[in-house]
Amino acid sequence: MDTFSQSEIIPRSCKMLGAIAVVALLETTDRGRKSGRDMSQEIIAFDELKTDYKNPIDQCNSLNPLVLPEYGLHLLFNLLFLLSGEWFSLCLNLPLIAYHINRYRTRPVMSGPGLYDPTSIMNHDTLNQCQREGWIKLAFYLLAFFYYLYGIEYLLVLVILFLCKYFVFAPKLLPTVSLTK
Amino acid sequence: MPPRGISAPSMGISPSLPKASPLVGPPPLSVGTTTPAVSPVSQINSSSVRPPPTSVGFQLHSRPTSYVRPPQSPLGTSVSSTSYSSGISPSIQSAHPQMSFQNSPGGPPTGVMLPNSSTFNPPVSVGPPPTSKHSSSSSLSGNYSPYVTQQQPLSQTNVHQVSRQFGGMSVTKDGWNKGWGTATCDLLQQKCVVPPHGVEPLSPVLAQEYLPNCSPDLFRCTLTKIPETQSVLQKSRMPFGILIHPFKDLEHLAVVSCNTIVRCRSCRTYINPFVVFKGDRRWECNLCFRVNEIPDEFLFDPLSRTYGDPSRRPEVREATIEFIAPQEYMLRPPQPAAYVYVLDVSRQAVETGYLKIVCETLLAYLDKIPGDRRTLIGFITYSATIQFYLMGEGLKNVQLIEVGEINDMFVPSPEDLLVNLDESRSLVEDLLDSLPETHANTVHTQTALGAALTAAYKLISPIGGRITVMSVTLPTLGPGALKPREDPNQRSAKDISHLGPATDFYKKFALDCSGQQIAVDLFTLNSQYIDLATLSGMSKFSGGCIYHFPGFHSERNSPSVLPFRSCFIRYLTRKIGFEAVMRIRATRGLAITNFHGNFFVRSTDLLSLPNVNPDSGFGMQVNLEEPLHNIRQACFQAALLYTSRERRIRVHTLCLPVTPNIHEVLNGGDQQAIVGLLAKMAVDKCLSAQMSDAREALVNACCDALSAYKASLSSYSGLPAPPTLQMMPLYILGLLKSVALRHGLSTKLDDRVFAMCELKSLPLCHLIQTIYPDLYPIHNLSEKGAINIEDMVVPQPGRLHLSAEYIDRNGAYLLDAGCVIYVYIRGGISPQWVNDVIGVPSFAAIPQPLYEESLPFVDNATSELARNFVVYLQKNKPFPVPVQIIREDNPSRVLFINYLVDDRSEGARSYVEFLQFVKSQVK
Ligand SMILES: [Zn+2]
Repeated sequence: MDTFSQSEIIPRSCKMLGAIAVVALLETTDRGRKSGRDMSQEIIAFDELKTDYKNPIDQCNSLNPLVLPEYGLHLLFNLLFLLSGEWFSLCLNLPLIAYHINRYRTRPVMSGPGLYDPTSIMNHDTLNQCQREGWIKLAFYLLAFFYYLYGIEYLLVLVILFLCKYFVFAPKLLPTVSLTK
Repeated sequence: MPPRGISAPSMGISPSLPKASPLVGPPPLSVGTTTPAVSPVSQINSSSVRPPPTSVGFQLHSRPTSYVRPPQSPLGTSVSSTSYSSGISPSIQSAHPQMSFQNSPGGPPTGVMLPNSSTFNPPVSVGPPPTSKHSSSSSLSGNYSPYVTQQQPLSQTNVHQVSRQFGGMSVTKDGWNKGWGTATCDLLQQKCVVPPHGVEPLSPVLAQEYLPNCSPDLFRCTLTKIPETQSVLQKSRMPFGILIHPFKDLEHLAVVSCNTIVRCRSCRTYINPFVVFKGDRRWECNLCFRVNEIPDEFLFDPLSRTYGDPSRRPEVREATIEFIAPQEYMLRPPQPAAYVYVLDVSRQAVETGYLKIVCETLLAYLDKIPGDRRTLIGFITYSATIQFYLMGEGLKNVQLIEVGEINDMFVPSPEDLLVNLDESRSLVEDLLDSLPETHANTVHTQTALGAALTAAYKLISPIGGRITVMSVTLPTLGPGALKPREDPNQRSAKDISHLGPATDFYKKFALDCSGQQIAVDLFTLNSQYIDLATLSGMSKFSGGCIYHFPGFHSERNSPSVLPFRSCFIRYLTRKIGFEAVMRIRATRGLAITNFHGNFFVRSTDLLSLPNVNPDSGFGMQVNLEEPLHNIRQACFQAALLYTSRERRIRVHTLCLPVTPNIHEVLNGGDQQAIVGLLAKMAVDKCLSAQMSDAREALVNACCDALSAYKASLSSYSGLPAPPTLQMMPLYILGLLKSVALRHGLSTKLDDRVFAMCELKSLPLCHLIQTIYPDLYPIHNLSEKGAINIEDMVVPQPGRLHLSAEYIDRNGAYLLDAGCVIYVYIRGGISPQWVNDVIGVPSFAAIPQPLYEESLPFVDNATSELARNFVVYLQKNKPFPVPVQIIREDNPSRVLFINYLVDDRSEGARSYVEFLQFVKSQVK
């Protein structure tokens, strides 16, 4: 625990925030199945289109409002990385930011926000591309989440230790944690 | 008023509540089914498990591809043996004459080697196959593939020998092959590839020749032989897709009215001639192979009024059939015909005089508008404000209401605006009489088209129907306002910008319309830029059609009046199907990937077509997702559900043989269909990438197909092409020089965009004519070889290549480009001919310009032949087009010269140069 110096606290907590952001992203994923929001919902959505389940207009209307919030959240925690000087994490995310910007720049002509156009979404190529994009991004977010989690391990342990004191069953858990560390 | 809500509420859907009507969904299950068909949910589950297909079939690629030759080893590998040995099959000689392969004249006839030998029994007896005996027996034997009779184990040396002979035989075989019309020709040697009597539409050759297949005019596939696997398809390097003209006016159409329409329980395919009857009471679906029951009703033969053999039913005897749909195919009672006209009355518009022509024509053809006693009609005019015309029953005069609130449109008393044509007939006539004068002195120069469209939508959305928009000026006010984007200096550039829409207002409008079963048809009569790229969205996605009459003016440009009038007459009187949907089904393993045409794609195989008209065609790209092993024939079925007074279903079924042999695939390519599909793909490419990419991709597609063919031959110098692809380079060159894709020649952006819309939505026969027009010599028409149509002797002059080389200086030529006919008269023409046909004494006296629907009437035999010929050409068009006579010394000869595709033109190769370029690309 001695290695845990003051100077490391800020970047690590930033990573933690990043992780929390990803958790938030993933969290909505689970709820999305019900309410029709976000990443894996997007994949499900494209699959629904492929299997004739939903009208492309409705599907695009439900997906388009989610695109900018997702990009925004991603940008936000990258901003945190930037502020805290987490260059490596930032570099990991830069390609995705560039991809997002390019993707949004080359989107079909639309008056509202979003990416998906009901008249072209049913094209086999477009649909496949969207679906592939969804899978790859989901995998990326997941991997990134575990990486951030690894990054804040010490912090996490500290938090766990801190929390443990307040739980009745905590004393049993405490020795195992300190053993692994 | 129409019987709104009379029986609709009982069905749970009221037409007056548009939000609640889910339109014409997938037809519900037929009544009386005991076992439920597969529920949608379980279908979804099963197919969502399936991994997404990895390969995406044929794509237009602009980067040159390296083509890998299939292995040429003559040894018994399956690839190399298929490339020639199945061709030896005697059954093919009789069933597919163009595919036959003859053994070396010297060598003894060899037996047959099967490509997929594993499915066959061990070697059967060997025999030099006599010609026709085997074919009949083989096609009937159940276990065997129809192509194959016998199998012979060939020793390696034997195979080697045969293949060597095959390679060296190309010369000796020539004469024989020519007899069958299957000669491979070297495009560099054969200068003339245009058949004098036109390209015969290629129809697929089925093993069971007696089966009626869908007419190639209605339904075509780019490959008349479907490759069995994805790898064969990729090796053939041909685009795979279908082209369909589903609502073509037909002279003969079987209409069936029955209580239950027999369909497959699992995939909902309509019963068709290609199903297999299993015993007396069951049939096997030819798309998903489920075995279904035959209902009792189906055993009844309506002709002989007896029960028994189901194969006598018209459903099984016709590949194109129409059903009168029973109740369960309707979500609401068939809608009445409803038409709203949205007319531009800005100052520029009124000055062109179009309004007068529209009103006169409408007045004259009011009785011929399709519909019944419920037909509704309404009018909206727009300039800077929107004008409505109250024509309700109780009114004595037409009342005009002007609405200036263009940003927040409301519609005053809709029931008096969209009125029953029968009941308010006199008021409608009054309005049409007075409309041109009412707006004669308008001062507005700006227009608010968006607001007018919104108003029209509000008016007609409870019923659905058709909105006809006439636009002369760029809309600059209110919602959907546009700015001029065209840069006149960029008209001949390599890459054209602004081919896509500037705003999505019109697209969104079209989608709203599509949801309410409204189609928007657009007529543009502009002389200035009108941004058709953006405006066309309103028709593209609502199943409408687009007509463009550049430079229309009834006085200053009087020749433009005739085509507009005849087009509008055809438009008013042609058949129309309301609230239509079209579903394309294909044999399991084939999947539709991309759609081309004017419609909204509602799901993977369902097109929403608020209106369907007989002049529009559609294209679809197809992908082979699963190999078609053990499937002898693949089928496509297009079912068009529409309302014209009653609910009807028109079903087209196309059946194509499946082959594992790449040589057969290449020889079965349908060049016209291929070029038709490539044209549509190229337009998409122009919008998604640059125009130069699209042009390059077209050239690559041509090189690819010819490379694949060359690679399938053992050895061949020059540029070989199968007989069915001989004209492909010519067509591709025509496409590159077409108004849509050309560069170097100054082309207005609107004209270019319109040409692109045409490429996407014209039926194939007209599409080919715009790509490579027909040129005929008409200075020596004779009755030799003439055909007789309705007591009219129609001479048949042979077609010529579009090259100055074939234009004799003493001749007269007729060029039929689809939308216009040019008669080009050279200076050396004999005065006798001029006198006989044009009716003037000499070449110099030929009046200029002269537009007629036909040639001038002169009472003599030569003139009659020429006139008959023009009438014959006009008959094949949806509406008569102008005939323009061009004298060689007239500057307008450029119009004609621009069509000479074979010759070198500004920034484009000549045919010979193009061939040489293709040759250099073909390895
Ligand atoms: Zn079926």
